[in-house]
Amino acid sequence: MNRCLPLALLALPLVGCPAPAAPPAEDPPAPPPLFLDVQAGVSDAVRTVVEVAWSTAEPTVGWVEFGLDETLGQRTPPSDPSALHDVDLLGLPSLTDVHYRLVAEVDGAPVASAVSIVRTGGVPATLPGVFVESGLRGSGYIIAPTLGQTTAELPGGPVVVLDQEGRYVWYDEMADGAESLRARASVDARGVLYFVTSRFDDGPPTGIQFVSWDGRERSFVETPDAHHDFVELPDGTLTVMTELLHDIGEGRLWGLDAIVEYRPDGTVVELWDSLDFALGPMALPPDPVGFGEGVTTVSWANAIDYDPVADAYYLSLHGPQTVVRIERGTGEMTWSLGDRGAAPLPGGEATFARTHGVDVTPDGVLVFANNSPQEDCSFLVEYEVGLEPAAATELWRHAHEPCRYAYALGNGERLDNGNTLAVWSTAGQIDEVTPDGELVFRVNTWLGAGFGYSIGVPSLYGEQEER
Amino acid sequence: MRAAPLACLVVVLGCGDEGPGPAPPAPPAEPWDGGPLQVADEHQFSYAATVQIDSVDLRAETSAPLRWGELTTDLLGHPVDPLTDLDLISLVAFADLTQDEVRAAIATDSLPQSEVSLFVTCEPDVPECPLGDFSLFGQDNDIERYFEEGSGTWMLTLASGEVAASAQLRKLLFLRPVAGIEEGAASVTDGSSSFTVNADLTGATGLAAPLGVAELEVDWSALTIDGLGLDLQTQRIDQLTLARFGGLTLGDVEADFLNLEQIGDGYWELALDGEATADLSAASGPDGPFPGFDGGAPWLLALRCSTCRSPMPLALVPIVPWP
Repeated sequence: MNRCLPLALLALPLVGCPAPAAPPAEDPPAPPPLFLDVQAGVSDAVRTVVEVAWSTAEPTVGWVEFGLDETLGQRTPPSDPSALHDVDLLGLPSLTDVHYRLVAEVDGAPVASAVSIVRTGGVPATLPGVFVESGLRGSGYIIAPTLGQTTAELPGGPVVVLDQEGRYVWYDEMADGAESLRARASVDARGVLYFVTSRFDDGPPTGIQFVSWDGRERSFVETPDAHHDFVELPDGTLTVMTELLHDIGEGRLWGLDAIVEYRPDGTVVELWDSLDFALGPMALPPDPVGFGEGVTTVSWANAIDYDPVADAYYLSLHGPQTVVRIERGTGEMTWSLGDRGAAPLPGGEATFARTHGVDVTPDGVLVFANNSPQEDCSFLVEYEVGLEPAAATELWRHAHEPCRYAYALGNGERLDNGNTLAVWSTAGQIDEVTPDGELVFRVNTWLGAGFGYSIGVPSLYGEQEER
Repeated sequence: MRAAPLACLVVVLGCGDEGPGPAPPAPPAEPWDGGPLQVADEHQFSYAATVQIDSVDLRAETSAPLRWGELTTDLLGHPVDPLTDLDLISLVAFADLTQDEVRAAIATDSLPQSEVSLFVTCEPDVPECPLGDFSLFGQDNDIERYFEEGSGTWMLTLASGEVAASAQLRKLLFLRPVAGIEEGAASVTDGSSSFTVNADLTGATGLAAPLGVAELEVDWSALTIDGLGLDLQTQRIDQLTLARFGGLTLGDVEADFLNLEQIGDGYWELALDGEATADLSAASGPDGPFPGFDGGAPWLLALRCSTCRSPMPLALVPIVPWP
């Protein structure tokens, strides 16, 4: 890939020296330059991303070690053997000097350049102001859509990545009128996927936007009638929840939901819809009696996640206050929990209501229950799922102390280290907590902004090969 | 309609310092080398702000009429038309904050979204909305059910701008749900709320700048505090304004801080892109591009945040033109 680097370009042949002794105290006899045509500068599109390119006379495995001081501490994944190298330095805050050096594997040993410095650019003022709990540090990065720039009630704002200290390290601004309620790292770790929709007639189309880390590559999969949430499968399939209108006569409609897959080969497959659930567990009369003019929202799906082990989806349905599991292979609903669920709620009482986010964990499923304004206390609850017979065992529960209420959205995300990200969306707060509920990290917005469905990742480079 | 650039800086000045202006900086040891003007904490102005908000008792769990048709001035004392200037009418509940805590947080622009326990809006055709008509995402949530005695602090907010993140507060009124009292109504009037600032410009060290040079870079990357002495949110600065006050001293400017837009005789603006530097030659105003600083008049450089709730600039720096 040949990229034109924008600003502050360095074009220097850097002389190799054995890693990690950089920079050397005394100049050794100069070997032939190892790193040629070195260029480094910030991306025009995302000014917290530093692009570094270089070449070597012979194909080499290469990477960049970098950090906010000379101790470096981070590195890009090693490349395949190549004479041309082109990498992005990720996870960097704005307006900050970045120290970096190039490394090439020569005869099986790493050889590093001297350390150079490049400064990141500023981030747009449209990113909402945030503040963090003093003295705390998160265990990874948070990928989040922000809220507050399309309506009074909050939805819509730039998609961002926050680092362990709550600093913006990546962003993508929305088109006018667009809003996103969900963002995820792409499965291939090349960038961010986020759901885009608009509540305005002349707004942009609904779909899933991909943006590469450097902001140069963008692609869009239009997903008409999709809403709230999506999930990417390991093979790149994008699965959304779409609104499905069901005519029950006399001009009255049920607003149902369907699971629709947009597969990499271009096919679109509807896997399941909630009509049977409406007629079955919800026991709605299949005629106009009792329903008003226009659309009556029935199932009101709010969130979706995918279990790659079981090859099944979990959906959070706000209408019946129930979480359901749909087998991907058959499209059958095999488990449900909640007011209209087959599995009895642990304790026998309504343990969650007004559900939003749902996250598949190694042990079960993690549900965000918003509850009502009167209860004023949203919480996360994790269940172990039993299929035959349908059962649910509560594994873990977390509420904010004192109570925190999110009147919309909200999700939990189990992190790789076992901690949990608690996203109190419309309350403008994200916490990382340990299994014991101990607070590890907290970031807040100021009045007028919040976070959509968000996730945590340990690295923006995906899983790195040890070297 | 866009206000004049410094129109919203301050309302009431109660400045105690009556000095003639910032002490002139020591003469530069070397001629200006063409480098950027470096804004540091010593150049930052300081201020203290207070917000007064009236409170009206209303019968709990009822849908009392809320009215604002008599309003003529906003929080800053500037004219407001209740029919055309107010885009966002909202009712905000803070379950865990007292009225005093809300006042203090608004004054310092330090109100976290997490303190909001309920946020509902109303879109009436007339300047009146019953409490029960406020809704979330257009859904009728029977909000009056939640308007219970002891349910925290409720605030009616009238704002310009339809978007949560950047709506500018124009008028506020606390509503206190009280059980058992007679049903009534609440009216927002000019006296319902006001924003008061005690600003200190003369205590700041003037930033020396060369005379008659427009091609100037200014760099505020070393500025760490705002006018309240709190951590500066550099990332939120999105506008730079230069203002000239011909025939006045800085003390005069400070004494008439309420009317900066009237007493200034020149201003130039520049939209910023998130960097901590700017080229002043790119600033422009009604009379054209910024011509460079001249002598004989105080100058102010303001760094502003158009998406912040507070009308105060994030930085305000007296400039001392230097031969």
